[in-house]
Amino acid sequence: MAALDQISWIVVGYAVLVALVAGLAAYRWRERPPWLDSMGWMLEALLAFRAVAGFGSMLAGQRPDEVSTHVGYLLASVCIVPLALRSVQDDRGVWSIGVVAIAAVTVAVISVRIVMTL
Amino acid sequence: MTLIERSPATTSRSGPHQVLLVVYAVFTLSAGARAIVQLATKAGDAPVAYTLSLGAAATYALGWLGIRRASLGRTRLASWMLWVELCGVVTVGTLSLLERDWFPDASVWSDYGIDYGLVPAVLPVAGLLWLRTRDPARAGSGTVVAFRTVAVAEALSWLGLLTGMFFKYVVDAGAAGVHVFGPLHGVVFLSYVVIAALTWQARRWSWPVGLAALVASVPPFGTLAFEEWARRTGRLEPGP
Repeated sequence: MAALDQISWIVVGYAVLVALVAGLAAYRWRERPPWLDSMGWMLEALLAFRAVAGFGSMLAGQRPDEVSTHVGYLLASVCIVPLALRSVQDDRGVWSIGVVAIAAVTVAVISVRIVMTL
Repeated sequence: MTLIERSPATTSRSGPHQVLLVVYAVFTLSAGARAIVQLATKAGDAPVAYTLSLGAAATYALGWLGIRRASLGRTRLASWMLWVELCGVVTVGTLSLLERDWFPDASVWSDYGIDYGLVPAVLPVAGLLWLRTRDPARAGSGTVVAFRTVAVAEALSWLGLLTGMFFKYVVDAGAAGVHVFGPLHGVVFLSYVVIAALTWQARRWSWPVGLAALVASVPPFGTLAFEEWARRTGRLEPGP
């Protein structure tokens, strides 16, 4: 379980970094830079890795404390960033950065909750 | 800023409503999933709290729909739903503090949404402020009115908190006042910070003035002093 916790905390740290960088980008450029999307997809890759590892450990017989909540969080965590990026696909305005930032903060909170329900 | 035209069927132009819509979608999902799981697995533990959470989820879903419609020019649903949501948070938050027995387990709006970082209390205020900007007759004066209101509310919540502290620590007459005014002051404080930042941008205050507005929220009644000074020096004139 310790390894799973470590991945979750890395996700939390990286998600907070994405949110902070998004705030900086909104202040500095007033337009969403393409590399912010790349950071979002990096975050998504980490989340997908965490979800695969989580489902893998459950299949291997390790039961989390609250199974249904834990599975819900794992599924939600991988859906949020793609949905957010998809919703602002054609729009590079300053508010689209806010959408990415909210998505990053949300997955950070979900990752903390994943650790708590493990 | 680059704005790329999209077909009207998908959504409207870029704006603050995009951020509001994401937050409402997240809260609809989290409150809804939480309430459904709790009602399905342990409905008997705290039926009132879990049902209220489900109600909160429904309010967020309708709020999302309302904001989406308001961004396309039809503000009626949003102006109803945001007020319903604000009244819901304030009522459930106050009841959860006064009638602890009714809430063996927390609902989404318990303690004004403290489990969610008080975002549930700030969200309808932010939504209503955004809605005002959709009405051309009110545009411009909205932030100034909101700032003056929240500056007074901040001072009043300080007064309540200090009174509660007096009864708790000096008279030793119980902590009920602190329990109610503590979270309430937290909500008003957060609202003040958000609205002060918006007014800073809208009124084009300089950095020292903007920072003074934020620092004024820390000491008791500082916001009243700042509001009085800003009004006298012409920094709170309504206008576009």
